Amino acid sequence: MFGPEVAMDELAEACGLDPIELRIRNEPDTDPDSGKPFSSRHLLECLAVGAERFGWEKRSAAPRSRLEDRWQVGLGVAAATYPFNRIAENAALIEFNADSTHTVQIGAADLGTGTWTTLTQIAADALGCEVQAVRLEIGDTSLPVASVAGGSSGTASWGAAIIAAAVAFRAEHGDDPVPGARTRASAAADPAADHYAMHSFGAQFAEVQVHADTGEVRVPRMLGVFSAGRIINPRTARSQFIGGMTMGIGMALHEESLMDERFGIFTNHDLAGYHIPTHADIGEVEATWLEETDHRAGPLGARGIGEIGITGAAAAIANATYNATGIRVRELPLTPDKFIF
Amino acid sequence: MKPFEYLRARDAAGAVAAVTGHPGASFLGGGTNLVDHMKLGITAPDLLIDIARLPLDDIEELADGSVRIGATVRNSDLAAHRLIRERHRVLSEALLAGASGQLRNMATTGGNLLQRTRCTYFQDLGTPCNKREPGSGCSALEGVNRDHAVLGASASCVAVHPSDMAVALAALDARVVVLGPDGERSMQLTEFHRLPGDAPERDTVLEHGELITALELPARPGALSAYRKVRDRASYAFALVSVAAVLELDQDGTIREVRLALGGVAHKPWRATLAESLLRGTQPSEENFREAAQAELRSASALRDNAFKIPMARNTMVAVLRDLSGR
Repeated sequence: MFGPEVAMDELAEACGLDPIELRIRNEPDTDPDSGKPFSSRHLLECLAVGAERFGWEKRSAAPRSRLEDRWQVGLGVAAATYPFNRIAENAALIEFNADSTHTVQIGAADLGTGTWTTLTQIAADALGCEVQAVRLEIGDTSLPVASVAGGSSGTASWGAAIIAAAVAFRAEHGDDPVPGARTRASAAADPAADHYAMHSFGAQFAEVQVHADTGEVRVPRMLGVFSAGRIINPRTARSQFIGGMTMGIGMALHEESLMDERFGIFTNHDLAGYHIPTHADIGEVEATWLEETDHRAGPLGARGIGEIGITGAAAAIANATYNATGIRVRELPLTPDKFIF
Repeated sequence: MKPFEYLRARDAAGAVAAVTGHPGASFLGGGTNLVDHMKLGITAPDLLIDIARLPLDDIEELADGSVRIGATVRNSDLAAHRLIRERHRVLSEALLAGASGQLRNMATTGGNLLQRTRCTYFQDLGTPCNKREPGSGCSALEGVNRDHAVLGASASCVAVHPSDMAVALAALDARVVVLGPDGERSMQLTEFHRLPGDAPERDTVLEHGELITALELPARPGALSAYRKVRDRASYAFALVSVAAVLELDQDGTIREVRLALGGVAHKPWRATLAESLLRGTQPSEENFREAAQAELRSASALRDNAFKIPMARNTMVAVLRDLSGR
């Protein structure tokens, strides 16, 4: 998204339009790539909600308009989109225990994104029991087959298998199962997937400061507004969104691999040389989302959130540095040397 | 790992004797750089003499108002000390701009001065480096050299000294007190580190076995001072450019004395003596600061990736002087 969303910013300026207005005027009715209708597309709402919350109306269209205590201040925006693909090859096994709990098994993985929590919630919801009555088992390849924790597909793909297993379990064993009752089921493929373009969307807003003397770049404020279908757990979702945005700050300001081709070595091959943000680099990073359910995106109504948080973040920051300085940088990272002459 | 012997020194003279008589021996302070180098294979001492617990950890005011800092004072303690914060603020600011809290808790004053360049080619055993292996060549000269020197470099080495603390000390006219097998000697900090010339393997003028025991900061009543470090991120990164400045103004606002030192630009903390001489006796002004900075940097020369350091050093000198003279 970095190249296209910086290009959109350049296009908006060339047209004399606000970058949000440019996107409003060019909002497509159907997916320009496949020609299919979108399962759900609320990009303009994301932009509108974000503009309101972020104070976009305070942005001056002319670059280099704000100088505060030797810091040049600018605002930038970028759109975000990431495709949704639910992976059908998932199975789950549910067994009722003597202590009235359900063991729910699926070979899914928790990378730290909250899978333990969200799959427990999904299982409890589908089984009609309390979350305390679900004993989730994941993280073992001997468990029923599951797809990867990747491609922003995990929760929707695993969740669909758990729902399928819960529906089958209840049909097979009724409301009063006996201990030892067990059912294994696979998620059905998604008939809607072939007929709709399915994507998560977002709007990224950034405020940056570029020091007028030294070229240092800071990001005191970011806001992401996302449309990702149903959000299963607001706390873990927010954490994943702001984690992605934080990595986006790293992409924007710091991360770069430098190769010395004579020796075939990366010259910044440790964390002293390959910079990622420190706490001091991260200001106010906030994420919110539209309340919605995408009924075409599988039984959960949820699309993926794993990658949409970083998507567009670097472009929003680069566009904000242009607004701050009048210097257009098309090559990341936005290090001080690019703003000093 | 190469096996090595470890001994804890009882006193400074004993430590000096132990290292002097043993060519493969090295002093160990906080270990924040030496231990890294032993892991990377840059150095392989067969004897470590631990001097971190020697009673050299006092910070005291002497009768003439100067401050004496023991060599094993930890960076964090030095930064936080009342005498330093009140009288030599530039030093406190420089220390706090360096490394991380954890490292500052370990690193010693003497060790900070002796830390070695972070030049990637120095740290990578697979590439030639005159500093690590004299005569093998300088890989940075025509390699990735964004972090490298623009002042005082040579055809054999373009590395920069990584210390923030040393830059502040250069601006404070600090002296380094050293104990060797033949007794004590002392020198200006600006004479302590070397330019690379054709012997970049030697960072300093210390001889094998000589131990830093203290630093001395001359009294500078009424001086304002500040440290400004420009780096690629807000914390925990080495300086692209840094500036330490000490400024004394007369009653009428004329610059009575100014001392400027640059970090991140040379093989040693770079005292900007030309800029200082142009500024002494003048009125503080943006134009004067800029002219002086430009004059100092006229001898700078850029490599492939580091030309930005020259305007960055100029601007940062101007910015620090503007801030200080406006206080």
